[in-house]
Amino acid sequence: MKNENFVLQSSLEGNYLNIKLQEPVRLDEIAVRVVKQDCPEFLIPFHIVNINDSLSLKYKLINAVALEYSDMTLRKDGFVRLFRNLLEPFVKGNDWFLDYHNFCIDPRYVFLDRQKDGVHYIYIPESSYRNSDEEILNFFHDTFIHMTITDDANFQVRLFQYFSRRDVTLSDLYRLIQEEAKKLGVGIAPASVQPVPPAAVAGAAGVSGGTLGAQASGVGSGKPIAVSGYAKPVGGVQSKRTESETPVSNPAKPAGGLFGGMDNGKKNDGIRDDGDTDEVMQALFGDKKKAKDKGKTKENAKAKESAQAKESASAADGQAQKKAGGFSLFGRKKEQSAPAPAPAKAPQSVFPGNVSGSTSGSAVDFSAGASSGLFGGTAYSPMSGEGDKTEIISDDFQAAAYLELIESPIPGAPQRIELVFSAAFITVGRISSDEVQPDVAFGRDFTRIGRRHARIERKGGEYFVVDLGSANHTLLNGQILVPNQPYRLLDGGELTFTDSKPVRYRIHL
Amino acid sequence: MKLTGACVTYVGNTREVNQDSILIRLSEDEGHFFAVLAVCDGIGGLQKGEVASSMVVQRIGEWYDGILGWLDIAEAEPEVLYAHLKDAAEGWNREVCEYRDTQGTDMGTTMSLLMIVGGRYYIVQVGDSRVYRYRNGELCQLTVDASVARMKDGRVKLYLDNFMGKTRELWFTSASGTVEDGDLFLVCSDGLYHCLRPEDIKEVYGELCDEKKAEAACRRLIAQMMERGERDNISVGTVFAKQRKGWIRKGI
Repeated sequence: MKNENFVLQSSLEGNYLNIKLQEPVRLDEIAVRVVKQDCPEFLIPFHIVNINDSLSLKYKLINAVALEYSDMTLRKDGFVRLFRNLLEPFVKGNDWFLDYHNFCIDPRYVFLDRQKDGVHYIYIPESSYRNSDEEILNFFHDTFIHMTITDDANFQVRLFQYFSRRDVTLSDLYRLIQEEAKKLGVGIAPASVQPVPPAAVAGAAGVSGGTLGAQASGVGSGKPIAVSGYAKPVGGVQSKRTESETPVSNPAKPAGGLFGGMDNGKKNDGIRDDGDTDEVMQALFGDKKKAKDKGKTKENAKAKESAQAKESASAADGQAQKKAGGFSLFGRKKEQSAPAPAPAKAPQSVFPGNVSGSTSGSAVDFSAGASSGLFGGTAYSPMSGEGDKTEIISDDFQAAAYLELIESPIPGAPQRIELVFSAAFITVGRISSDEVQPDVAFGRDFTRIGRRHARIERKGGEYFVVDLGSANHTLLNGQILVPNQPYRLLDGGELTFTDSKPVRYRIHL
Repeated sequence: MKLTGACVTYVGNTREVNQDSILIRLSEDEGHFFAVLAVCDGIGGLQKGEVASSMVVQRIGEWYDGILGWLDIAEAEPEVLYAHLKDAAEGWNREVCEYRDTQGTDMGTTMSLLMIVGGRYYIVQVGDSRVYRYRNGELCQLTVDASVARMKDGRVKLYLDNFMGKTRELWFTSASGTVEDGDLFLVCSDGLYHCLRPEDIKEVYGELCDEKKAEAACRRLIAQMMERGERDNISVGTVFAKQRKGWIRKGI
């Protein structure tokens, strides 16, 4: 992991993590598409930003605690739950054609959502960001040793001994955690019941009822599709075998690597027939609508805001999309406003040279002129040669809660304040020469607004405002607030900063 | 932690008007202190220096009282208070400027303000009055003088570069740090520090730590400076911090 390429950025709309990609960039196209079209709930979606042909991945960080700063003293059930949540994405990743090696395991960027009891990873679909299996195991090991399990010292010692063994694998660990979870009665989603991965079912006749439904078969030839869950995006996405197997003989055998020995019927590699490639890809990505209908039995079916996801091709056309604000992470289904466009360009060779590399079945061939549907709209075009341009592939998202300016006697007040929390609260104040600026910063002209004027907090889905003792007060629905007292914000109410030259906002929750 | 302090200002031997103003406020809530010690030296070269300095000091007192009106000292957030202090300082500066505009004359004052809360000190500094800290036998100047040196008549003279009432937008310097057991803070105008030597503080340290003797000790210091020839207004204020755990005697 190249940490110097990770840059945190704060704006009025939220906090972002930008990961600058080093040349030569080799993106895992399949993963990119998967995340963009149907991001699994354990990943934080990203956008690809192209600035003067230099690429970055931009993640909007959610309102959750990073693992590094989270509570390390847990009871056993909390610990088991946490570890299960940490491990599951590694296990589930295959189903989404994701390579678990590309999860970011920096504890500063692993987010724990206690409310929804989930873990969110940053997925970096670029080949240079691979973690080795050893690094991944060390991540779990290090996470564990920083924890204290308060009510079961024996368990902690046992786990410690377990980690000290040399031959520990993630699958064993996962199984162990699952057993513990069963004992504790902590609700688990057993590995065998996975949400059906997005397009794997699409159009694939005769999906084997198999445990994961991930073995779409019968496409044309009836052979298992070998879109490997362990695709290494080196030299382009290839369906390939993983390190260990001889796939031909034993398609049912799980791949090696970190999950050696894990028998969960995961999708594995088999051979792929050349002739099936296009059909496979078509099946996987070509018809998105059908994919959606065939459905995803996602675990969360949250109502989501309508996001008009422009096709990536339109980004390639250079349209800058304007983001409308926050987003809801779960169950967000993009409505494809346009079908996959026809291949706009001959796919540039982002992956210089070759994409072959796996044995017999040839890799999905992304060189020019190959598969019809896949690069129909390239996710980005670094070699577009369209000159200096910042292109953002974005979805429009609606904020969950925000303040909208009603009026301000002084020009320059933020029109809209998104209530997106990356910490416990949002500070509101004025820009000053201080080193630390408030999250929502009014310009220097707003002399009556203090450096630390007020704070907006969120507790359990409700929003509160606290006046920090500002000289000119904060008002809620016209009433001057007592300093240091939380007042609940209600939808439709009016929040005003300063009573002389008041800056008034409408509350939208 | 326990804080004790005192402050004294004196017109001096030569001047007719005392353009210095000084203020100290100490409040405690169950061992938590909120204190402010500030000196303002009115600009002698301009009119009505004493009006400017007394006006600012009065505002400081009002600000302090206002804060106490809603602040729970034990749960105070020092950084937020510091932000409020800086906002207030900008407001005081604007007031001095407005007064200057209505009077039609230039006027101004320095301000060195020391605030202690939550085990830390915070300083807002405008001008050439000073805040010192005496710790473990060493006198350390915590503020930077807003002075510039210029040649005049063959001699180097120091000119004040910044003060309250100079511009509508306030420029100040700030500093903060921890308060430790035995720290003695000293706030003074230039009348005191021209002739001050570190051993002077050493001599009176013991008395300055004693709340009954601190004021007298301040007067002694002032008298000493006058003996050495200081002719300007002289002001000094001190705050001494002591941990409340038992009998820690601080020698020098």
